[in-house]
Formats: sequence, C-alpha cells, structure tokens
Amino acid sequence: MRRLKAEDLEEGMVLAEDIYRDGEILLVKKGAALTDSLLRHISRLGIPMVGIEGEDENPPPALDPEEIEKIKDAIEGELSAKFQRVSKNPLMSQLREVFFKYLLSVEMK
Amino acid sequence: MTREEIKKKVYDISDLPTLPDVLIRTNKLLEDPDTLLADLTKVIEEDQSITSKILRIVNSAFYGFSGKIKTISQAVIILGFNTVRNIMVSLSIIGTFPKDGDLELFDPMKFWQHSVGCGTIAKFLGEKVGIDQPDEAFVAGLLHDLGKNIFAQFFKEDFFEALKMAYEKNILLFEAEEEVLGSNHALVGQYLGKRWRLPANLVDTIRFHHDPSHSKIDQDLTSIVHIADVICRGMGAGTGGDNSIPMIEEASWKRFDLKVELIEQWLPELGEKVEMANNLFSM
Repeated sequence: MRRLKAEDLEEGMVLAEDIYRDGEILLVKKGAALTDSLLRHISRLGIPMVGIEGEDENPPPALDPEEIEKIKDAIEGELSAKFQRVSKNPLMSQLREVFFKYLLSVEMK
Repeated sequence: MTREEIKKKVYDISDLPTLPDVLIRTNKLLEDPDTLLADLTKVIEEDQSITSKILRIVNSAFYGFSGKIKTISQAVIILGFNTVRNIMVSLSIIGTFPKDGDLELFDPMKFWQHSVGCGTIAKFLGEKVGIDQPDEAFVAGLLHDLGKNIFAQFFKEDFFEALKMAYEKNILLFEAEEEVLGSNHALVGQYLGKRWRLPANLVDTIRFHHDPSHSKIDQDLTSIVHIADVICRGMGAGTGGDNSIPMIEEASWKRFDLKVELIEQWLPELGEKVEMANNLFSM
C-alpha cells in the first residue's frame, strides 16, 4: 500500500483501506476503484491522506539509526518506570516486552 | 480521615453528579417485565439529543451497522435492550465527568481517554474470551475509576497530595489514596455507583477492579476490566493519574486462559479500536 495526499489521487486508483467519515461512518470499502464523484466527495470531506493499492514509487526515507535508538531509549525509560514494581513477575515482564514492540511499531509508523 | 468518614462525606455531598432523567426512566421500564418496546422507544425518543447520539453510535464502525439503523426501535430489535441501555449509560457518564480541572497531575481529558481505552479493551477481550455480555464490559471499563472523579471534585487537596505521592514514590494511586485519605477510589466509586443504582455487577467491578478475586458477583466482568486496565496503561492510552502498572492477578489471567502471544497479536487492532472509540465518545 502507498499513502497519497487527496490532491494526488487519480481516477481508477484502487483503495487499499476503508474510508470513514468523521472516523466512524463507513463511506467506501477498500477494493473500490476511485471515480470522479468519489474524488470530489473525498476532497469535500477534507480527508487528508488515502491508502491506495500498489508500491510506493518514492518510499519515505528510512529513519536514521541514531533516531531509532533515541525512540527505543524513550520507550524503554517509560516502561521501566511503569513496570518497576512488577519487574520480578514473569507474566508482567513478558507483557512489558510485548508493549515495547507495540509502542516501537506505533512510533515507527 | 477514616473510611467511614469518607463514606459519610460522599453520602452527604448534595451536588454529586447525577444521571440524566431519560436513563433513570429507561432503567425503571427495563425492570418491569410488562414493558413494551413501544413504551421504551417513546421514553428514549422524547430525548432528541440522546436519540441522535445513540443512532450515531450504533451506525458507527464501532458497532458496524453503517447507516442501517434509522430508529431507536430498530436499534433495540437488532442489538437488544441491554446493548442500547449500555450505550445510554456510556453517553450519560460522559456528562458526569469533569471537562476541565485545575488539579495539576490529573488531566480530565487524559483521564477520560484512560476510561474509554479501558472500556474498549475490556469489550474487545470480552468478545475474544466469550464472556456473557461484552457490551457490559465497555461500560464497566468506562466506570471502573469513577471514584477518582469524586476525589478530584470533592476531596481536592487530599487527592492532590495522593497524586503527588503516587508520582514521587512511583506507586499506584490506589495505594497513595489509602495513605493520604484512608480510603481509595474503588470504595468511593462503589458508594457513588450504589447511589446511582447502577446494576450490581457494575458496582462490583468498580469496587474490585484492583483485586477481582474478591468479587462475589461477577468475577468474569471484574477480571476482564482488571486485565484491560493493565493493557490500557501498557499501551499508554490516556492516564489514570499515576505512572505505575498494577500486577495482573494470576487467577484472572488463568480464568480466561489468556496468552501473552495473543495480547501481542491483538495490540495493533486494539490501538485502532481505542482511537475509534475516543473519536466516538469524545467529551
């Protein structure tokens, strides 16, 4: 999938994700091809970015490794404070690892 | 202060937040086995504001009936009385949460996000492990920290001391409240829940969300909210006024045969659902 700004969309492109109005009411399902009236609808609703099928021609530059380390340190710091008192519990330690991976994936998006 | 003094004070507060009339009338009708669908629909539809909000929610991606449900009676027929009531309780609760506050360390917006997050996660987990009424888990999650609202509004100074202590010592707010106030938000939430005549299992969840194995009424619901609270804190969705994570009770975890791998698998979807719910139930 690639994400395009509303103004860069063209007729015939295929949606790679559902479009919601106000984040809640389903407007168009993924898999639909963009038509002229859909394009006008999207611009009227002020939807900023839309996911489209296909590879990105200009993928965003990968994050600088130093930047990634900084993000990791910040998440690690936050979690070690939160889990300080339960760190000896095996279940809680495993959960902490899972949260670390999740929070990192959110930051890298 | 002692627990009894706090309890008395909570019962004596004359301007405690109240639930809207339409909800009280609906609850009464639902207690009567002879109530007809038309009676119930009429009471709800007299309140146009709640009617349009209910329809907005049932037609949202959160419930998945995009634009198909046009009236309250359709909503009741398709989703059931209980679901519609649970949506009403959720909407009514928003109105009782303070929207702004001058209490440092306790941001009402972030607190609301924590409550919505916990409710959303509880509903999701409830659906996955197959408890009786996952909808109820949403309301239970929304309400679990209700007592903190009472502290923030009516016991401001002491609550501020507790918040400070929780951050400085990196302990749970629950524990700091005990030290400073001699009571805690689970107990105080229980008092308010009783005054509001909330269903017994919701009051039970408020009371025992930190120690669900002590719950006598609905251990499924209490345990789900207990686990959802931990996940919500781990995900960093809003904040309940402290920065520590409670330990999951082993019995709760084993009760549903949960696995860490499952939580890992569910987290991305949970993140999306929590965001969606925050848009839907915004203050």
